[in-house]
Amino acid sequence: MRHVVMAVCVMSMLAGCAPKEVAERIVNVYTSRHYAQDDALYAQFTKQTGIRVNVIKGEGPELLERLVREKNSPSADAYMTADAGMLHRAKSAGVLAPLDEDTVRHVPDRWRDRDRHWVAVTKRARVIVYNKARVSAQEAPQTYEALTEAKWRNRVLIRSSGNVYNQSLAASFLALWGEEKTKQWASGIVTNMARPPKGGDRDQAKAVIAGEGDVAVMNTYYLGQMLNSTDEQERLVAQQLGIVWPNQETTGTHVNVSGIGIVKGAQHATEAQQLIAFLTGDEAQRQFAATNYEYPIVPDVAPSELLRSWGTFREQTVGASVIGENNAAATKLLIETGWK
Amino acid sequence: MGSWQVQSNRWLASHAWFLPACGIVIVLVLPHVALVWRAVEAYSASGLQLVGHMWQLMVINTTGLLVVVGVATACIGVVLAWLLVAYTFPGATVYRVALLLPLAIPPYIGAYTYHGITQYTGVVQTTLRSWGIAVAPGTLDMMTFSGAAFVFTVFLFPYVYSVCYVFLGTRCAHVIESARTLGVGGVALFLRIVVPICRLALFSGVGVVVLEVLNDYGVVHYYGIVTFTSAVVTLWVGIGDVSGAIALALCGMGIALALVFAEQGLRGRRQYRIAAAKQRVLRRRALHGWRGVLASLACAVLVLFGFVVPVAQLIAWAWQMHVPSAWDALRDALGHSLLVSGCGAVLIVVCSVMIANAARWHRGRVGVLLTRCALFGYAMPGAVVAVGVLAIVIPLEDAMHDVLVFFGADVAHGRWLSATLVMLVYGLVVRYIGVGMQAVDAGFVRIGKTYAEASRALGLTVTQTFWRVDAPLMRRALWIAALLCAVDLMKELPLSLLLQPYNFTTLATEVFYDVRDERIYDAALASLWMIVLSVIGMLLVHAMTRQEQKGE
Repeated sequence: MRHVVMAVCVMSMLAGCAPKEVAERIVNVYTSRHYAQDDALYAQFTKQTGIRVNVIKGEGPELLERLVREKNSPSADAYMTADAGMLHRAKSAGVLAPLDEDTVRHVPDRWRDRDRHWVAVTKRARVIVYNKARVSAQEAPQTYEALTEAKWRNRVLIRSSGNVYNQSLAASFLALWGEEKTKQWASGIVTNMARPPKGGDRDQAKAVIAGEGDVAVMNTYYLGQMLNSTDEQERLVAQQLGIVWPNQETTGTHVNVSGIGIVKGAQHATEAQQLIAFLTGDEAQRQFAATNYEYPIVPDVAPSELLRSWGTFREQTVGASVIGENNAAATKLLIETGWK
Repeated sequence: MGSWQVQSNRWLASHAWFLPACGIVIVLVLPHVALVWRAVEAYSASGLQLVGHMWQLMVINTTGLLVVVGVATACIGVVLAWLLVAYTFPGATVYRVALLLPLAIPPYIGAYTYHGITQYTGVVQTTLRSWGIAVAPGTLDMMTFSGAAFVFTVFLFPYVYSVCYVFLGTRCAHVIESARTLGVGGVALFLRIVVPICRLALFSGVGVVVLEVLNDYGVVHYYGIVTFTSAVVTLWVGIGDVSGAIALALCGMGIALALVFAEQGLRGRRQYRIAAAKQRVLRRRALHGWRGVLASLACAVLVLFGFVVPVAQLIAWAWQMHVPSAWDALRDALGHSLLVSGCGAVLIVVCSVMIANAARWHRGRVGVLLTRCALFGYAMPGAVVAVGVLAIVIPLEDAMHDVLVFFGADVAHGRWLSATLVMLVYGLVVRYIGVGMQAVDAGFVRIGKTYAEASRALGLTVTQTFWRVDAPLMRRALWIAALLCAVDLMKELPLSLLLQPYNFTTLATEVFYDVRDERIYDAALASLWMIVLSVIGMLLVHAMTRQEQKGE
């Protein structure tokens, strides 16, 4: 009996470490974005509202696993991650709750989940870059489909099928073209690869200038990073690249998003709604665009000067929801075509 | 007040170590049981079928890497250990320490750094271009199978070198001196006496290397090499099939453990006792002329590639960043890294001592089983271990809360394990207890059982014997074990990432954030701090090992 009393005492002491929050307002965020800009925005949010932002930064899928385990009583209030595929996975796992209509009203429909389980915060375009010294502007492939033409045999550089940006690209094609044509496209890319996929987006760009291939598919975000790199050689490489906004005459350039949603059963749901409204608000959107080479989600906010200098472009009309839903099928398809 | 109580007291006293040790092992094995459950719970074959598309590549690359890196590190490790134990040559004193330094650099940082050096914008190619020498695209490519094998070899060979060095230096001087007296020398001595005699040390060193390579994800993912672990990650990250990923990882763990235990089985019951009354340190002979130069050169090349070159590149990158404010951000990470690796290391050593000492006095299979179960965590990718830990800790918290509410306590559902350091440290112990066990076990083997048995015969209990006899003799061995663990924990990544509490960054996670965003330059400063701390740890280990050898 003495032991039981002891055990209860110890347990109550331990529980005492986690008293009910009374005074301070907080919001707990799991995020897979690791940018100084995000931290700066959290600090501004705290300054404006007095709500402290606690963050765990990790990888999207791993944080999702943590959310799934914590389902009964989640410690996180919001989940932020890159790519619609990941956001959709969180939705399917049943860990997200619908956002208030008021929180996301100003965000265009395409950039939020159809059931309001998540909303996009920023977006990036997936473009084609080429070596200006070896490929003329007229000759450069103007569409994603053109990359599969015979003349680009052994000249295309692109990342692995494990990369979410490629998965989302294929997911958008599944929506636009259907399975058969997407499969043909993926096989065509595999045939035309200059080397087996490896490295990140920047490595594809460097390989284009090094001459391992002539064209590469990459994210505008990394192009912005390279042009402003602290490494002089990297800046030089970026300056030698020509950019093509693919599919301007047809379906538009593919765009992928980072997004955020509220965790189902969140203890600080109100604060989380406030944070999401803040991140999709004009001021935060302007800062994402100005310092992180990402495009704003909200139509009224203009992109940064660098992004504007690349010109305006037509986006794919496929909604982020659909891209998320197609992610699993797209990944399967890429792996099946032998895309490493 | 019958004889029953006396008996039961005696039973309890004799099991004072065994029962807690069983408890610890059960706590450490629980995450793996949870993994099996998690794998079965939502198992579907579709994900695994998909990965089946790449199975040939996966098998070829994984076995290829294991064989190439295993053989390369074995050869390099044992040859260098022998050269430095048996001979003196220019620079040998420095190399004895310097050859440990590559362990301070995690292979994933090494991989990024070497790619940075050799790529188109790297220092090698830009310098060549400035001299008008064009490098054909793809020729200097590090991101290949051979590049990965190179990276693993130069950063992991010290695991083999250090074990062989200590073993040869302390335990077989008499054998080698006898052989020398009988006229066996040079290559014949090395091949016929040295290699067979340090076979066991060699196996245990290569065993660590093999597990490190098998469970690596950072290097193979970045270099685009499809391996077993990258398939696990593809299933999880790419397809979102957590159960499939775990099932695959469990298979991998099965194979890895089968190999490790097969090796131990081959060793069988043979225990190597030192015949000489006093262990001697081998007298070194001088290598003159070209032999000396060659030996010195061999060591220099490895120190250069395994430490000097990557560190120089990291310093250059950190310099190029010239952001003094970066220090502020790093200060917290530095403190957290020290805190986590310190707590983790101490706990690992305590648990290791409990288990090893219990197994030492408990004859038979149960004792062996205890020590083997502790190895589970080290035979699996860290991220998968983390999932197992989550699957234990979080339901435990939920259950605790339910119990408190049942007793009428009015408390919020506090995440008092997962929102604090407890979960992270627990995970680290689960994963790295194998490292601690190995070092502590080595300590116990070293002091032998003679004094302890005498103490027991004089009527002292296991606990009294431990504090009065074993602990004083083991002091240095325990420090060494703690430092070795601390160095490993400092570099650890997947667990820190998945099990961290709020607003908590370590040096390793800081590096990861930058590297994942392809900003290796920005990661240089944090990497260097991590390397500096690890080097300090390694130097302390070295100093203590030497003291211990001299103390004999």
